[in-house]
Amino acid sequence: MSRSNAARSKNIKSKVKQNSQVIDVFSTEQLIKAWEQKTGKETAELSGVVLRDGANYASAIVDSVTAVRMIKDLGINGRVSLKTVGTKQYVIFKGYAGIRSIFSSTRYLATNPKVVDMAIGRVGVNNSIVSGARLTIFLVVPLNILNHILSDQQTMTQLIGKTATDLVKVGVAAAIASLTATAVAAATTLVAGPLIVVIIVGLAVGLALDALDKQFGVTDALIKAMDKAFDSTVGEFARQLNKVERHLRWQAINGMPVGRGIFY
Amino acid sequence: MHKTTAHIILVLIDIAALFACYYVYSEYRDISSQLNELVESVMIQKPLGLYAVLVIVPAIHATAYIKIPDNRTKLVNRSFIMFFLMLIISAFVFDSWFDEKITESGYVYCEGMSESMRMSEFRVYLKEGLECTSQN
Repeated sequence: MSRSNAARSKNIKSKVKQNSQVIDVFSTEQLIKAWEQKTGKETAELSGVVLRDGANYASAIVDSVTAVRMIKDLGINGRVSLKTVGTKQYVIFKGYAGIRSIFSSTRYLATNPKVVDMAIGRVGVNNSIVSGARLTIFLVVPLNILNHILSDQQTMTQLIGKTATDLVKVGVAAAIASLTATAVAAATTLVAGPLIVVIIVGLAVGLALDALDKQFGVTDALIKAMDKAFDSTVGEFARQLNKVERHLRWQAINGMPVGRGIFY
Repeated sequence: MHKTTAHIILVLIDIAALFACYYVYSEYRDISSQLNELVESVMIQKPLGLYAVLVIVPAIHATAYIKIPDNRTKLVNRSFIMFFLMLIISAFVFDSWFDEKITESGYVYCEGMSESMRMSEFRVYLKEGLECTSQN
C-alpha cells in the first residue's frame, strides 16, 4: 500500500515537474535594472537613444533613401520641369530616357504613382510630407506613452501636454517644409532639390520649434494649465465627494440619520 | 505656384538660413565664454550644427539665377551634392567636437537635469564635483 502510494506520489511529482512554469513578476524599475544587467548599461542607454532618435528622424531617413534612388535613376544631372496642359499637370524629365530604369518615359502625369512615390512635383512632395508626418506621429506617440509608463515621475497631464506639443511641432514643420519644397520645385529644375529641402527644412524647423518651446516654456505652460483645469473640475468634484463621504460616515458612526442635511 | 511667389518664399527661407548660421555662431561664442568664466553649469541644444545645414537652401535657390553651361552641369551638380554631404558631416563633427571641448574644460554631462524634446536634447553639463540632481 505504502509502496503504491510512494509510486503515485513520485508519478505526480514528475508530472508537476514536466508541466512546471516559472513566472517572474517585476516592477518597471526591476525590469529596467534586469535589462541593464543583461545587456550592459551602455547598450541599454544606447538602444533608448537610437529608438528615440530613430522615431524623430524616421521621416528624414525615408526621404533620404528616396532622394538617393532618384539621383541614381535620373543621374546627377537629373532635371525636371512641371508643365500644365489644360487642367492636367505633367512632370517632364530632361535627359536620355533609355538609360533610366524607373522613369523610362519623358513625361508623366503629376498624379502618376511612380512620380508620387518618388516625391516629384507638388502632389509627390505633399504626399511624401504627409506620409512622413504620419510615420513620425505613429512612432512618437507610442514612444511618449512608453516613456510615461516606464517613468514613475510623470503625470497623465505631462504625457498629454508633451504629445500635444509634439504633434503641433510635426504639423508646423511639415507645413513649412511643404511650402519651401513647392517653392523650390517652381523656381528651380534640380530634380533632387525639393526632396533635399524637405529633409533639411523639416529638421531645422523641428530644432527651432524645440528651442522656442524651451525658451518660452510652451509645453510647461500647457501642462500647468491642464493641471489647473483638471484640479478645478475633476479634482474639485473628487474633493467634494470625499467631503460628503466623510460627513455620511460621521453621521453613521454617531447614530444620526445618514444623508440628512445633504440629500433631504 | 507662381515663380514670383516661389522666389519670395525662398528669399524668406534664405534669410532664416542666415539667422540659423548666426544662431549657431552666437551659441558657440556664448558657451565658450561661459566655459572661460568657469560657470557652474552650461546648457547646449543638441544637435546644434544641423541648423547651419539650412544654408543649402540659398545654394539651391542660387541655381535658379545662375545659367550654367551644358558642359559644366555635371561638375556643378556633383559639387552641389558634395557640398550638401559635407555640410551634414560637418554638422555632426562640430557637435561631437563641441561636446569634447565642454568635457575637456572640466564639465560632466548631467542626464537628470537635461531635457529631451521631439527633435533635440537640451544637454546640461555641470562643473566636475557638483551634484547632478533630477529636475523632477
